[in-house]
Amino acid sequence: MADISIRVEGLSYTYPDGWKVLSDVSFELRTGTSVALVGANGCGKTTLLWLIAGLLEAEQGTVYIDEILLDRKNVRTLQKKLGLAFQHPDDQLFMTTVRQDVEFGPRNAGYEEDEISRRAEEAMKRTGCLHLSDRPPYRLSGGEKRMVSLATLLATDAEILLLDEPTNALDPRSRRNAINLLGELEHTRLIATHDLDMALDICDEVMVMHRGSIAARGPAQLILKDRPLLESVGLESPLSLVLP
Amino acid sequence: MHMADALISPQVGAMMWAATAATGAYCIKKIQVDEHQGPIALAGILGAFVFAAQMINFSIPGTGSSGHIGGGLLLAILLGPHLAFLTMASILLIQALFFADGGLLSYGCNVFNLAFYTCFIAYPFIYKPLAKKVRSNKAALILAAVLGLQMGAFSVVLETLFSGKTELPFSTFVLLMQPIHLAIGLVEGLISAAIVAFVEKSAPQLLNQGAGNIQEQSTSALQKLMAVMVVATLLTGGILSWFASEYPDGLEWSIQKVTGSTELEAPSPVHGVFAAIQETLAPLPDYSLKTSGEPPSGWLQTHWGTSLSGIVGALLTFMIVLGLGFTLKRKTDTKA
Amino acid sequence: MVVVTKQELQFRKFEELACISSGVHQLHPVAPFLVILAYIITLTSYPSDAFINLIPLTLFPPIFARLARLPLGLLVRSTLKVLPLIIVIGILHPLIDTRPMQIGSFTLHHGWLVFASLLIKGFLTILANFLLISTLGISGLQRAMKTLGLPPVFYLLFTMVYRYIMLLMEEVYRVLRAYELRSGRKPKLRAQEWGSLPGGILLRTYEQGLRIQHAMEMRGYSPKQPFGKEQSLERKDILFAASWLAVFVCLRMEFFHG
Repeated sequence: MADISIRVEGLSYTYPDGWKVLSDVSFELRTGTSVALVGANGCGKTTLLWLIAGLLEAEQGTVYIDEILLDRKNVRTLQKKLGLAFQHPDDQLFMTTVRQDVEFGPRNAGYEEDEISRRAEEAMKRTGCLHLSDRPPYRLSGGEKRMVSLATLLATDAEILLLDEPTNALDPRSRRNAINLLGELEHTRLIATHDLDMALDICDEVMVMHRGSIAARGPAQLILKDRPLLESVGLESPLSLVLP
Repeated sequence: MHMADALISPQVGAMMWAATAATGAYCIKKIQVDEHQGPIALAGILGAFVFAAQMINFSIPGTGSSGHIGGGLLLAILLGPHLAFLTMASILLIQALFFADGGLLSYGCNVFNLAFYTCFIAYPFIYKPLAKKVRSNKAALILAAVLGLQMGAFSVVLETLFSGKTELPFSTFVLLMQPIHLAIGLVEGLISAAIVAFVEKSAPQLLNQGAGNIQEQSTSALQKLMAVMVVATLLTGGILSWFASEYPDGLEWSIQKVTGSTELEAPSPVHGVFAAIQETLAPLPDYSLKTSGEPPSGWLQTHWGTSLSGIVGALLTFMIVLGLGFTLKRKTDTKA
Repeated sequence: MVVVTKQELQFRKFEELACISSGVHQLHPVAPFLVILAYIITLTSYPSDAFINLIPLTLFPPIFARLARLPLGLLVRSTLKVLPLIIVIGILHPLIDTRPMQIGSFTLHHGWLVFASLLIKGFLTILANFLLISTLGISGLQRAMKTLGLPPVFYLLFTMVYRYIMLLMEEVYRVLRAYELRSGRKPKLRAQEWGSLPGGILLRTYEQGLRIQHAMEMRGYSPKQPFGKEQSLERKDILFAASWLAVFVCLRMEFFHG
C-alpha cells in the first residue's frame, strides 16, 4: 500500500446539461487518515466521490489510487481497492437477504465459499447486524440499512472507503453507532457529510468545498472552529463547538 | 390474458416451456457476450416499476373504465429486446407464483404470449422501422402494442385449442379473444406512447438504450433464434407425439364433439392449415386423429402406456429444458 | 415507512408461511417443486370431461398441507379469490355444448361436465401453486433455480425484480396518495396525466437503477460470474419426489380402479 491512497490533480467535471460542478480540484489523502468533505448542497461532494470511484470520467484532470493512474483500462481493478457507500442504502442493498448482500462482494472476487461466509460473518459482527442476516433489506430501518451497507464494504478487500453522507437521516443512537464504527476503522476514509459534529469527532482533517472547488483544508479542530470561513460557504459551526 | 394451468395440456405446456427456455437462453447468451447489453440492475428495477405501475388506473376518456400499463414494449424500448424479454419473464414468474396469475405449467405459454411477440416481433419489426420517422413515433408504438397483443391473444387461442381441455369452437374463441385484446392493446399503446413522449421531452438519452445493436444484427440473430426454436419445437413435438394420448387434440377434438362427426364434409381452409401443422408435428403414425370408437392397439395405446407416458413425457421435456439451462451454466462456469 | 398495499400483504403472507418449520420445508426445494409440477401435469393430462377420476387427486392438497404444516383454509380462500376467471371461461360450455348426457335418472348437457371438470382442475392447480410458494418462499425459489441450473444472470435479475417491487409499490402508493389529496378524488389519471405521473416515477426509477448498477460493479459484478453454491440433493428429497410421482402415475393409470 502506498503512502498516498488518493491523489487528485486538476479535476474538472461538467454534467451533460452544461452544469460545471467541479473545477480544478486537487488534493492528496494519506493512507489510513480520515478526511471529511464538507460543503453546501450541490457543491460537488457526491460528484467528486464518484469521479474518484471511477464511475464518472473527468473531462480534465487525473485520479491516482495508491499511486496508480485511474483510466478506462484499469478502473475495474482499482475499484477493488475502493468501497463506496452510496447516499441512499437502497441503491446498495439489492439482494433478498442481508447475508446475500454482504456476501455479494467477496463472491464476485472469487473467494471460496468458506472464506465468503467468514468474511460476511465478520463484517456483520463488526457492524452489529449479524442478527439481521436473514432479513430482507427492504424491511430494515434506516439505521440498520446504513450499518448493513457498511458491512457490504467491510466484507470486501477495499482499503479505501468513500462514504456519502453516512449519518444522514439516522436517529441519535444509530448515528452514534455509525460514528463509533467509522472512527474505529483503519481504512483510508473520505467522508462527504453535512454532519459537522461527526467530522469533529472522528476526522483528522476537513476539506471545505465551495462551488466546485476546495475552499479550505486543515485539521478538523481548526477548520470547524473557523466560523467566518464556514458561514462564507453556507455552513455553520458544529453544535458541540457552539453550545457552552 | 394470462393462461391458467387448467386450460392447457401437459404436452402444449411443455412445448411452450421449451420455446420460452430456448428464447431465454438465447437472450442470456446475448447479454453475456456483450456486456453493454446487460445493465441488469436497471432491468431489475424497471421490472419492479412495471409491476408496481399496475396499481395505477388510467381513466379512459368517454368510458367509465380504466386501463393499465402493458410493459413489454416500454421495457423493450428502454432496455433492448433481450433484457426486456428476461425482465418480463421475471415479472410473470412472480405474478404466477405469488398471485396465481398464470400457472406453473402454463408459464411457458404466458411468457411466450406476453413477451416474445412484443420484444422480438412488435418491437423490432413494427415499432423500430416506423419510429425512424419521428412524427409517427406515437402511431408506431400504438400499432406495435396492438399487433403484439393480437399475436399473443391468438397464441392463447391456439394453445387452448391444441390442448383440448375446453370445447370452445375456434370461431367462437377467436371472436371472443381478438376484439377484446384489440381494445386492450389500443389502451396499452396509448399509455405507453404518453409515457414515452414524456421521457422524450425530459430525458431523451434514455430512449437510445434499446436501439443499440439490434438493427445491424437483427437478421442473423433472428435467424439463429428461429433455428433454435424450430429445433426445440420439433424435438419436443417429436418426443411428445411418441407419448401421445389416445385422445385427439385440439381442433379436431372440438369439431368432433361439437359437430358430432369425425370428418368435416367441407373442411375450411383454416382447418386444413391446422391439420397440416399437426401432421408435421407428428411424424410417427401412431399419433393421429382417432375416433372414440377405435380400439386401442399397441403398447403405447394401452391405459398403462398412455398414462405413464403422458406424465413421463411431459416431465422428460421439462428435464430437457432444464438440462439446456444446466449445460449453459456449465459452459459459463468453465469460461469464468 | 410502513405501507400496506394488498399486493404487499400477499408477498408477506407467503414469506411467513415459507418460514414454517416442517419436514417438507426442510427438504431441498427442488423436491416439492417437482412433486407439485408432477401433480399439475397429472391433473391437466385428464380429458376435458373427466370428473369422477379427478376426485382422488383432491386428497393431495390436504395431505401435503398437513405434512408441511400449512393452513389449508387460508390457502383455499386465496385460491377461491382467483377462481372467477376459470368460471367465466367454463360457464360458456353448458351453453355451447348441449349434447345430452345421462347421469342416473338426470339428463344434463355435456357442457356442464366440462364446466365441472374445468372448475375442479382450476381449483386444484391454483391451490397446488400456492402450496408450492408457501413451502419455498423466495429463498427456496432461488435455491431451486440454482440447482436446476438456471443461469446466474437470470437468477440475479429475478432476485432484483423481487427485491425492488416493494420499494416501487411504496413509491407508486405515495405518489397516488399525494394525487388523491391534491385532486380531491380517487386517483384515476386523466389523459393529460397519463405520461407525466408514471413518467416521473419512471425517470427516478431509471436513475436509481443506474446507481444500483454502479454499486454492483463497484463490488465486482460481471455478467459472466458464476453465482453461489448449490445445495446437494439428499436421499430423503429423492424419496419424497419419487414416491409422490409413483402415486400420481398410479392414479392416472386408474390402477386402483382396475
